[in-house]
Amino acid sequence: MKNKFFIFTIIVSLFFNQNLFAFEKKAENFISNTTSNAKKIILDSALNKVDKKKQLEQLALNSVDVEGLAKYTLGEERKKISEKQLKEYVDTFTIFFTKNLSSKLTDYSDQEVQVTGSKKISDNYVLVNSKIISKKDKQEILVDWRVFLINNKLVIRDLVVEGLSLARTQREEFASIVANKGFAGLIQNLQEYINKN
Amino acid sequence: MKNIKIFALLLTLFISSNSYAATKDCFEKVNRATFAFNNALDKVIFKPVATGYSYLPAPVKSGVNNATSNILYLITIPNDILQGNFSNAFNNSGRFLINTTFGILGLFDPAQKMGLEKLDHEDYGQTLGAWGVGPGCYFVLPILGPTTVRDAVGRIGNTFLDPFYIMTVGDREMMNSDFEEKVYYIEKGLDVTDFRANNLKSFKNLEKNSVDLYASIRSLYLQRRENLISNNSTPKDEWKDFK
Repeated sequence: MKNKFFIFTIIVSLFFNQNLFAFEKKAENFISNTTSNAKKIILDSALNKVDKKKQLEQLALNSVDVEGLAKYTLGEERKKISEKQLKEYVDTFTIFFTKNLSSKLTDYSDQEVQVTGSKKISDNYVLVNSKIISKKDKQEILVDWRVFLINNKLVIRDLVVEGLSLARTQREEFASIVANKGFAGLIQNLQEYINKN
Repeated sequence: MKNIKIFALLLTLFISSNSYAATKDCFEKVNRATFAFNNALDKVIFKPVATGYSYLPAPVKSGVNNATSNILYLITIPNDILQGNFSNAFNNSGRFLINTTFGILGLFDPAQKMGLEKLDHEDYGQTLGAWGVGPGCYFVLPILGPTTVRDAVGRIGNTFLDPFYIMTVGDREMMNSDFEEKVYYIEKGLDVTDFRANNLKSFKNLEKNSVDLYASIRSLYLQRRENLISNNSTPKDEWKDFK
């Protein structure tokens, strides 16, 4: 009887332990799969530059919470603008973001992403740790991914490269434009970037 | 000695300032002009030199990186002690001694193989931050680039309290040193070139993808300093409460 109880306890605790770390594991796999899909697109010699960009943009839209990121990068200004202006901003930001990200990604081809661990921050938020290794010069860059579970879907909200948050950098960049040129100036700057790229 | 007194006075003045004051860009117009000047200078001098340097064989670049990093321990070790990080001070002293001797003036890194980990460098600006001194205004210095009032004061310490500076440019008689002044400037030049060469791709990417390059660099500089001061122990995370 004692033995059976002992085995039962072990099984139950294993089950709960697995459940305990299931969210983190899912987030880790999500990052591994997303980065491996991005690499496949970048290295696909059958695709021309335009198609590669399109596929990377689509991948970014599927794996990043662009709307949440748009709202975050607007900072305090979000409270001052109307719903209509917010919608205009989110739409413009979405195009800006996909173009910006695909432009950044196409420059990288010889890097390998290795997921090294993760930390659960809250019920719907995991910080996934990884390192990006450059095959050419063997340089390692530490990258953390802020992964959220939103509407039962895992999405990325921020990348922290060697301790530097890309979302925070973007938000401070936008805040500076708003302070100097106002909200209209920000939309204009984003449009100019979109037209150029 | 006089320099040390001035630095100590400045330290006392800044310790009394607010530790957690937000970093303001007090002279943004002037800063943007200085930034544009630095950027132009970078395009004409630093970037071409760094590009040429980047074609050197990997062992040469790694030797330069190791040697310049090794000399920085002369600033790092006292700052480890001032911040109360005695285990880091011990680790870095070991690294400095081993790499300066067995590593031939720091060109090689045998200390790493002996288990002495390569840690982030410390400076007087970081020590002031660790002691609770706030950053003060953000500003851009010609040629030297982004800084804050606290880091600019720290920079004075990084120069005048640096034994390598004292041995080469400062009081050489006191240190009984035969080093010439130019050794210091060559080392600093190599350090800057090596840093720029290591970041050629990142800078290009940043220039290409920023809608306001000045603001991006300011944000990255301030985040980097925050991380170095906190030794990455409490990274700021505003996402937890974001709705």
